[in-house]
Amino acid sequence: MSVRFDRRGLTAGRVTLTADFLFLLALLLYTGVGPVLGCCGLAAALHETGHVLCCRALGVPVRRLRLSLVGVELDLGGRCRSGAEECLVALAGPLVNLLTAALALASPLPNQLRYLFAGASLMLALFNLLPVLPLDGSRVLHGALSALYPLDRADRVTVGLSRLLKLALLPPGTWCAALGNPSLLVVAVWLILSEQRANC
Amino acid sequence: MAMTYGTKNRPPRREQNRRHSNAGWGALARLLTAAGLFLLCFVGKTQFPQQTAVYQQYLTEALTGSTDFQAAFSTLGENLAQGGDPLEAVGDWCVAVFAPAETAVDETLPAAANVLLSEEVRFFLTWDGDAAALCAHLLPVEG
Repeated sequence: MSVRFDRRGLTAGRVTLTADFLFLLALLLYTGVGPVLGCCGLAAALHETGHVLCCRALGVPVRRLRLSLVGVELDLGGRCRSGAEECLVALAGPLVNLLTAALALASPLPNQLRYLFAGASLMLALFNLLPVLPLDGSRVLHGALSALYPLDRADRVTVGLSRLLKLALLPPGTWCAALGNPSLLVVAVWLILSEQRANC
Repeated sequence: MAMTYGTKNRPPRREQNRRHSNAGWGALARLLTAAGLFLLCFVGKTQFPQQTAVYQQYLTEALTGSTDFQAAFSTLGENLAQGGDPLEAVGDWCVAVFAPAETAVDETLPAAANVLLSEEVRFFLTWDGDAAALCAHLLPVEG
């Protein structure tokens, strides 16, 4: 396995580790509580496994797995062959989360653990379905639009809607932060920064 | 996105190498700083849990307010396991995580005004769209 370093970060085989990811991990490790972090991490790993399995089933090559500020990103080395393929690859992750949430609820695990994991999986699936870049929902939207319109128009609509939704999150986020809960504002800023980093 | 660049305005190869090298050193510095911070957090949390707990609380409150994520996720899972309405369960999760738990107190207002403001904010955040509930809230029947 080759290990090399470039401006993207440290790459070992097909996995690239960026400084952003280490900052995020340090922050989560420092502020996060064990069970929540563990359940969210497992749900995220299953989510990405869903994407990878779908890529393999459809014959879409996965060029690189990038651990960054966004979390885990799959680099498919270009566009999927069709809008339908892009939709399927994007939907695979959230679908796996919905399935594992249902399985967890039906499992004989201790109540506290299965409720926590099911809740985390469900919210990860729903959050990823938001039509905001770089989340899966934006790729589903892009895939659907590219089946109806020319590719550049699908790009423009997806990026425009994504930016509009991010900006729309800022006023209520600021309002909630002023009243003592900055969670929504943190999510909005994280989404804005994630898109900027993804574009680098 | 697949793009093809022309060669007319491409800078000389030596200049490209220098730029690439500078960017590489910057990225290496960022990566080392982040790795150091990660190690510091890991060692601090495992070896000096009491000393780091104070700053952890400050940072957690600065980022999330007083939101209890574990309770929010567990309640969501429990509601679904008990066959509750998924949309309502997700709505409750959003209120638990994103809505302000306690409204800020404006020192310039009398105490009664702050209580009223807090009640109005709470009603707005939990209102389920029921017109009768809105009428009852805005036009309470007295006596």
